[in-house]
Amino acid sequence: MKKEDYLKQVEEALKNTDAATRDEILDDFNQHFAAGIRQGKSEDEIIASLGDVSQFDDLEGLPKVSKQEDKVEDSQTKTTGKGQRGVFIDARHADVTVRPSADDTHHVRLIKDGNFVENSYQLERIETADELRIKIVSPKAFFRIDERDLALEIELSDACKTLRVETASGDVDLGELNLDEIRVRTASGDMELETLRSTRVILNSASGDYSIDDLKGDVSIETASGDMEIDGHQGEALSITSVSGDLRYAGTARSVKITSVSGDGELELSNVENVKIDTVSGDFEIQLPRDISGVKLNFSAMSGELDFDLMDKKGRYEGHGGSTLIGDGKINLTLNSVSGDFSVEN
Amino acid sequence: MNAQFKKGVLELCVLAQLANGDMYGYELTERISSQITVATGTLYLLLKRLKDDEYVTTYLQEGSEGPARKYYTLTSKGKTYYEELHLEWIEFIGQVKNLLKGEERI
Repeated sequence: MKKEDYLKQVEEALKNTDAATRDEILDDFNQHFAAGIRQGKSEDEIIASLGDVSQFDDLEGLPKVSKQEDKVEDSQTKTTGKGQRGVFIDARHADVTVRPSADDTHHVRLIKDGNFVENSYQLERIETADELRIKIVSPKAFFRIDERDLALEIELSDACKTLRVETASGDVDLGELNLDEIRVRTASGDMELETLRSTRVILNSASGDYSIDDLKGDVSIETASGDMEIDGHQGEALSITSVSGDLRYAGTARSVKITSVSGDGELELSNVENVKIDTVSGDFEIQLPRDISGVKLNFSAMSGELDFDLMDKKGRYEGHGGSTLIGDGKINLTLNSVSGDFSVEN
Repeated sequence: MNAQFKKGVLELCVLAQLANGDMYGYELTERISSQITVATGTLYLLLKRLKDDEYVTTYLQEGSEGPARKYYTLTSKGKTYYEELHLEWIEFIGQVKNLLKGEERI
């Protein structure tokens, strides 16, 4: 067989894939032939090693061209997913809003200023049985809309168990969802999370701020300078890593772990058993419930201070550190700082 | 080799090669097919999928012989994915070994 005939077979095998993918793969094959021929192999030998095109069963996961029947629902700016378990959104600079869907499919809309975006930014969709991946891709048109005016509206069916959203400057707004895992990553985009139920929530931002209300699940936040407001949190674990972002928290987490460089914190912990705070210069105020049976305070600092007023026992540590047992010591607080101050009361 | 085994493990093998250094397509497919009998054409489809998943990116590099070649390289996301996959593989092999050992019990 000649190289041209083989490549025609490859092209035929990829006929249901989108043109860009097909061209890229054909280019790969061309380069492969060129390299092989330079090594002294014959076209037949190369074809034999590449294998029979009918063996190319790895076509799943490659972007498909939407068929004629799908064109009614699918367009460049609107799409639906068949209720996959996993949904992954890459929104670049567009804002993202996610709510539950009224039916059993996922709905995605790309919007500019309340209008659908025509002939410009498009949605790229990669779909497998388990996962729906949506990406906003650059326009081919010469005239570009400012990407920051774009918004992505998503409605998830309850088949979705894992949601991942990534944006650069886009803000992310999630509400009324019930999932196993939520992951959001932004650079400067802010996050607003309201009435969420999820076993795991993992959030990451550089400077984006967080506003979280009524969340049930374990939360882990990493931020450089984003400020965090968390209200009505129910869960086992809270883990915060911040450089300068400040934290205001009210919730029932049993295990709280905070690492901060200069970020401050005000914590209202109504059900906590274990707290560990490591900070350089951040100041932290901790409020424990009125009716507790005991606290074990472990404190260490260079120049930082600890003031406590617990179960009518007052005390202060200045610099260095120490350990204090109050009541039955049931709640364990380990507070470490260089110069940051702590105040603990109930 | 059993087709099912091969299918699951090709991705790991491709990522492992790239973890050792960037490679162009022909180089990578030759390395893999030197150990495993595989229709190397499917490797290009696999590479395309890895690129779409952002585990791998490509760049062009001028060579001493012939036109510029397309090189494949792991992204940091890809490195993490490879490490996870590698760990899972080692765990998996351990588990299978235990089950196979079971044959020797009376």
